This record gives sequence, C-alpha cells and structure tokens, in this order.
Amino acid sequence: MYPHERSLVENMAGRPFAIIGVNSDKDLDKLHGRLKEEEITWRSFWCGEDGTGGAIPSLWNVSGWPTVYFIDHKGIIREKSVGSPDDLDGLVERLVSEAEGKASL
Amino acid sequence: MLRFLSWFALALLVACPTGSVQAVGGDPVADAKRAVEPLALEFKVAENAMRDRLSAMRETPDYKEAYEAKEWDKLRALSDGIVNPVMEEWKEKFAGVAKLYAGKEAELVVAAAQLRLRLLADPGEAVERLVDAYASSAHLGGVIQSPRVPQGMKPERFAALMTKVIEENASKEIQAQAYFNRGSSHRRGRDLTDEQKAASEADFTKVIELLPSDALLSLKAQGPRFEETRLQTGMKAPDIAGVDLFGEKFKLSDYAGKVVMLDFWGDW
Repeated sequence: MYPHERSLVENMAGRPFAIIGVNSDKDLDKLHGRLKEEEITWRSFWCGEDGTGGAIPSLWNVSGWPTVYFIDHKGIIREKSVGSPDDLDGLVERLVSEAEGKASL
Repeated sequence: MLRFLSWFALALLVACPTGSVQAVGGDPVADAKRAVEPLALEFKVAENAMRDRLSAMRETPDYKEAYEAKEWDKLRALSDGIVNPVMEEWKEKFAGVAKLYAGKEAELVVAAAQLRLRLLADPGEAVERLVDAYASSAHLGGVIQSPRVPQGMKPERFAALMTKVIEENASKEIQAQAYFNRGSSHRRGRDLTDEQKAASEADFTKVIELLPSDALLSLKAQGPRFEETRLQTGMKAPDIAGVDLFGEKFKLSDYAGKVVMLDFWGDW
C-alpha cells in the first residue's frame, strides 16, 4: 500500500487532502527506520506498546489491518473499507474535487 | 515485646513501602514475581534470536527450493527444527519455576507468564484448574488476561469459568476482565442469536460500568457499540487525540476542511 499512498500524497500536493495513519507497530525504533526506507511522510497516531490492542483501534473496533476511513472536508465519514478500496484514486479525486467546490453531483 | 515488634514492623513498612518489606515477610507472590520477570525477559531475547535464525533460514537454497516446489511438510520441518528446541527448553525452565509454587497462590504469577508467552502445552487445562482453585484471588488477573478461549476448551466452559470469577472475585478489574471474556466468548465467528447478542452486550456494559471510561478494556468493550452508533458512513467522524510517531500531540480535527484518509496500519 505504501507506493500507492506515496503517489496519492504526491498527486494531491497543494490540494485539500491528507493521509493520517493510526499505527499499531510496537517497536518505534524499528518503525522510524522503516519510515525513511519507505519514504512515509504522512503523520500517524501511535498506539503505543499495546499495538493493535491500543486505545484508538479498540474504541474504533478495528479488527482488520489495514482498515481505512475516508472523511470528507465537512468531517463526514463517506467510505470505510478493510483493505484498500477498489478505486482508491477515483474516490479520493471525487472527495477532493467536492472539497474544492468543483463537484456538481 | 509484641507491641514493640509490631511498631517496628510498621516503621519498616513506612520506611520502605515496596519490595523489601515483602522480602522480610517472605511473600511467595512477590517472590514468584521476582523469579519470573527476569526469566520472561531472557525468554524474549531468546525468542528474538530464534526469529533472526528463522529469517536467515528462509534465505537458504534448501528452503527456497522447498518453497518453490510447495513442499509444505519440508518447510514445516525446517522451521520446527529451529523453533521447537527453543520452545521446549523454555517450557521446561518455566515448568521448573512453576513446580516451586505448585499448590500455592503464587503459582498464578508463574502461570500468567506461561500463558502470556505461550509456554504451556495445555493452556486450557491450566486456566480450568487455576480458575477453579483461585476464583477469588486478587492475583488471578494474569491468568484470565486474554479473552481468547484457550485451545481445547469449549467456549461454553470458558464462559462458565468466567461466571465463577464474576461471582467470587472482589476485584473490580478482575471482574471486568471476566465480564469482557465472557462477553467475547461467543462473539467471534458466526452470527449471534439475538439472545447471545443481548448477553454479550450486557457483559460489555458491566465492563464499562466497572472501569474508568479511558481504561483500555473499557474502550474495547465500548468498541462494538461505538462503531455501530458513531462510525457508519454518513456520520460525523469522532475526533481523535493522541501522539504521533515522534511523541508530538495532535488531533484528527487539526485537519478539518481537508479530505482525510484515515488509515489504521502497521508495518507487517
């Protein structure tokens, strides 16, 4: 999923879009190395030593990784999927255009 | 004389509130903790070394050939050759410590570590026996820390054991864990009957009542309902506050006005 996310961040630069992660790795040192290797520039919440059982995934009842929520510019949950959604680029483009006021549904 | 001694003990208790007083009293539970903790750390080191050896083995031509040829038995034998001796060695080490405390409440401490580190041949038997013997113990928590039904045990049996803990244990935390385990025991897998669903929800409600709302187990118990009532498409996303991977605080709402792809991920 990293390459796809990297290209999204690149393609959406300057537009109202952000990837926010909720990361469940337990070993932060190892992860810092991986961020560099994989050029993961987007910000993530860290779930601490509890990993997948941490506070955020617990309350959000996440049971599959990755789980992805798409939240529009008004803060409304528009899509959610376990795993990457089928048409990730199309979905993001649609929501971002809407945020920019281009979309006429 | 007796009065003098008790004053002395009290003075000692005030002077050193942790650790050393228990040693003076010869508390077997504290004693077992001191025996188990370093051993658990040593095991983690051995386990990491074992993982490294496994990764190295997967790079050998022998393994790669077997992988290409889909010879699953051979692949299993190759990993077992590395994993089994290590696990057997550590199972024995922990069993040796467990023997020292057999029949005493302190055996709960050793068993908790054995369960957590998967160093018991028959975890179901251990949970069954220990819950039966120590349902009211303040040290039972570690033995029931996992909501997973132990291998070889029927979910109904696990639920019955948790009921025993709920009825006999005075600790709120332990009761909450027992409610949570019972509520989860028939939750996994297939669709629940209405009756099972109601029972499970009632158990989770008890967890939420017993614990502070930000306790991890409470959050887990809140999860299913939270998802149902707050996380459906069309709903306003709840805010998240936390720290990033470098320890900086931030909130999901810092990104209001943007489209956010909220990705629950791990590098595995």
